[in-house]
Amino acid sequence: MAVFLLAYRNLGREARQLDSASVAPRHAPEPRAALGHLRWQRVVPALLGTTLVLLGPGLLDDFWTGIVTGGLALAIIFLSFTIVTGEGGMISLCQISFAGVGAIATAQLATEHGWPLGLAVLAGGVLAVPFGALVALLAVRLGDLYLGLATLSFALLADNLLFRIEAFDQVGAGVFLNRPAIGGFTFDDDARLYFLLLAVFVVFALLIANLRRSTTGLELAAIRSSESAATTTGISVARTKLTAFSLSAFIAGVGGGLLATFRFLALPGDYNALLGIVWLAVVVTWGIRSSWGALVAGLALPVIAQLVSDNLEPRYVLLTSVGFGLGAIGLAREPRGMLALQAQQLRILRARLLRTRDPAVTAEPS
Amino acid sequence: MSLPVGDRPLVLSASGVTVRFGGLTALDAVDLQVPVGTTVGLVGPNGAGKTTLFNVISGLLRPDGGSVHLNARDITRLRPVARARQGIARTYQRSELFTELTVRQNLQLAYRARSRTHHLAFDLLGIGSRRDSEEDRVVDELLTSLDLDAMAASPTASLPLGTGRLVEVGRALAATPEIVLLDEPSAGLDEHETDRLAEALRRARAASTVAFLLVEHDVDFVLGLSERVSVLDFGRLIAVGDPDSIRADPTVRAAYLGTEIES
Repeated sequence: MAVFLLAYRNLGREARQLDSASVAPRHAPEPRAALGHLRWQRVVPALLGTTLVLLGPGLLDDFWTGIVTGGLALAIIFLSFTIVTGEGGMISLCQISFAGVGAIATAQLATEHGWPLGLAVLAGGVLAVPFGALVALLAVRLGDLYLGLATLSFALLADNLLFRIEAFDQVGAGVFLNRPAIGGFTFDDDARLYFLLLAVFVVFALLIANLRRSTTGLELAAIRSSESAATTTGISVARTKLTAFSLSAFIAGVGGGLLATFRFLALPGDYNALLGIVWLAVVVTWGIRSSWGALVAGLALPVIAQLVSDNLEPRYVLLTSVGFGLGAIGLAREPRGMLALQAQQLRILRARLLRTRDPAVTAEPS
Repeated sequence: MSLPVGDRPLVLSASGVTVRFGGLTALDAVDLQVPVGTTVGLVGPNGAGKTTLFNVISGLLRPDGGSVHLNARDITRLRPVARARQGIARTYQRSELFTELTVRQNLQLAYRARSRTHHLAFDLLGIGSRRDSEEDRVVDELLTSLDLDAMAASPTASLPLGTGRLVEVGRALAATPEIVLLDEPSAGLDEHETDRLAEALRRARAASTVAFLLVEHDVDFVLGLSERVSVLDFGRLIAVGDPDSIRADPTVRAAYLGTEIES
């Protein structure tokens, strides 16, 4: 613990030096045009990441393939944070409840009513939307902090009222859920499911990328900057927040259904409010503003948890959460998360390398 | 607009607007008329209620009494968004730009908010926000007239204060409004930027029937641009008239102008 804290102190000092060296305001977004000559720094990590993700199950044994497959299901749920918190600028602590609604609905429809699994997962997403819309009504009325508290109480309410219903909870046993199948092709093998989940993730990530560039995306950015200016410009804050929350609830619902099918089990207790807070901290640590952040966060959470439980005594298991808590604090340094921080450091490193080779090139503050 | 100011129809009229904050009467039965295509100046010392009146007109503040009409339609009960869509645009005393967006995007968004509907499904599929040529024309013209072409692609967070104010004026005009409320647009601007702003406002008025309601500390700037001036003091309207008569009005001189315009 002491080591962690000391490390953070030093990191903080270094960050301050960096900041004082840069002229531009810290939170200023990077001008896109200026990135032209730095493009390789975006393309290379993206290519590397894509290759790794595609090769994933081929490089890993069955056990670890299972772990990363579960991670992909989490990553899909985490995309819901990318929309509501990353794009919408709203703190939501109840995304996990939307995922729980999706998981429960999928299990009920598929196992109890015999729906095809794919259809049940979609329906789970759709059923989560009204819950998202309900929370959005709060979001329109409440400020940042109060919204955080209100969403937390919503999540606790879901824990205690909805998730306790006997038909869903089955005395703590949950409801069995099968893996999806298309025709005769079943996804009972983790590696197969991995690629199905990856496809779903990519589709959602592309939709989010489109959204970000669209008028709705611009409106969300405008509301993040100034709500009063947005309203007097004719942008409906209520409608835009409703859109963000509903969409995020749909994605979380679908992700929850997929996580449950990965686990063969929809257990409401797996979607409790406290775990939801850890989830947000993890996503925020890796990058709330990009789909890559959600992907890495989703994969990292179960992998790190497994590594910790393999190598450390049980009493240290909490360290994972502590680590991510500290990661979230590290946001003070780079609000866009770890991945953006690494990118920034790559740029600084490159600038330094170039400077030693060619004194004419000066370091550019990012 | 060739009609004399007095004969033009009103685009905006506020009558008997009263606002109380606790025991303090910020606005006391204020009447204000803005004819179509006219620049009306609103002057008064600090705390006279100018920004409060702006907030009432743009809908951010519900008045305790009185009514606001836009094009003879009662808008007193409308929300700010609805008013903006019907043609009221405004700027703020302290910069309220969309700092994460570029200069061009600030203007585009204002144009779209007023004149386009968009659908989530299309936005998600990436086919909802195709440029339309009319949008490009309006935005490009404004960028040029405000001399903002060079920084169209820059994020507004990195702009100097004066340039930021011009962007805010551009954003208000990009909505192709009926009336723009300008809350001290020249505050923090240097001489060159103030000239550029005045020129841009004149050009906008010449090119359309847009009206301006202008709150400003720089008295010469207001009197130079306005065709009619209202003077507020302690929440009450103490004089209305053309710039020359306001300059000469003894009540106004006593309450506010003092020696400032003798230069």
